[in-house]
Amino acid sequence: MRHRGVSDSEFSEFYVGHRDRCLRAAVASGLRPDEAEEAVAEAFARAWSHWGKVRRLGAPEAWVVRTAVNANISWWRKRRRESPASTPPDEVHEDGADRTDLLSAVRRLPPRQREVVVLRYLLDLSTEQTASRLGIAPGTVASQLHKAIATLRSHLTHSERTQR
Amino acid sequence: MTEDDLHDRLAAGTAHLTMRRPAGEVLGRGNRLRRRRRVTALGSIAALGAVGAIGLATILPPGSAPLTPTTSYAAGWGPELVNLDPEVADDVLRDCSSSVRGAWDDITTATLPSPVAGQSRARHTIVVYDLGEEVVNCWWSPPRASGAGAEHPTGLARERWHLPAGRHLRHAFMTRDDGPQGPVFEIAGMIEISPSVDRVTIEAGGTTYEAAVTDRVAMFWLPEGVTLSRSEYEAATVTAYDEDGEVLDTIGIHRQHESPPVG
Repeated sequence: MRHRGVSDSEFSEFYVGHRDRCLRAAVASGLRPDEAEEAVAEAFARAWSHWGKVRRLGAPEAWVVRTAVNANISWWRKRRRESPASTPPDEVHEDGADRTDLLSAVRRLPPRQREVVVLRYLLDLSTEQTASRLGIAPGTVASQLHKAIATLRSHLTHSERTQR
Repeated sequence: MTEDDLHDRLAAGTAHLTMRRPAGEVLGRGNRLRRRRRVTALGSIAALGAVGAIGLATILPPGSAPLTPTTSYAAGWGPELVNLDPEVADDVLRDCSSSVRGAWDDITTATLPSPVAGQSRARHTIVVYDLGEEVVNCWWSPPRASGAGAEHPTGLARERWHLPAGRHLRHAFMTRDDGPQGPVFEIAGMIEISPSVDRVTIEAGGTTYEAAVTDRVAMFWLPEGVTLSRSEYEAATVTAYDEDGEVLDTIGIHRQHESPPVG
């Protein structure tokens, strides 16, 4: 099947090549693993439904992750209106074991630092691509990354001490 | 912990997260979403046509192709956005091309692409050239009666694409006719949009108008005969929606009345 001049094999190749990284990035961005696959699959489907323009983006995989996270938040917002007791994914309380791992620490980073870590190290975007995607200067990417590493080091050191 | 450590530890710590959903399922879901969007677009246009005087025939210039909900209407610069009246198309493109090349030394015949949009209303025509990093608009009017004022006015504007972070809409170009404090008419605009935008509407004078949405911009030109009072014009808004119909952003049609980002 062809869509806007591109074949679905191009999209399939993109999907197979990026789906795991997008899933990991979505989880690091705050989605629960049990719901992330659904959200990421939906985001990929939306990407295909808009493939004519999504494929022209510098990093379509970043669009997929952002769409997955946003869609999930929208879903949670709707659900929260219906059921005030519902807990959004970014407020999930994890058990003690999870709290010690790096992924949990990434999820607790300030939003900008977390975005930089996700784009640079889970989606493997370059500093320039990350800067372009976030609308910030490459130097800001480096400084945010530096802060993120310091924060993560602090979190992990603290966790290791409290575990002893 | 160094950057390399972080990279390695993240890779190891997330290796258990794998996605097994087949590509065919995702493609199927995407195809259904696209079909649903087309049906929605058809409904919107049918509803628009039913609003009395606001028929599509009045939105589009004579001789232009209607904005049917084809794939090129929903997304992507397509031939439908170049709706120049055949009677003026040659003159418009020749004069605009010549004016653009005359105004900027770095734009030559070789570097000036074909217009990505062009429409006419009454005596006025707007042509848009996408230069990649920049966009150029040309406003054209036919020659006046022969004599001293025989030269026809051609206005030009050039600027960089620069959608602010966190926004989904930005005025690229606006044009209107009006007196000092009187009514406003011939209102046309080009709005830069984010990739998340699926639909753009103009709410003006109690009526909603659909803009033509492409990859990068939404183009609108309120129907011939639509005149807004000054207060209606200043209160008019442009709204962007995502594919689920959620509002992404709203700005005033009037440049000085931009709203804060939604959400």
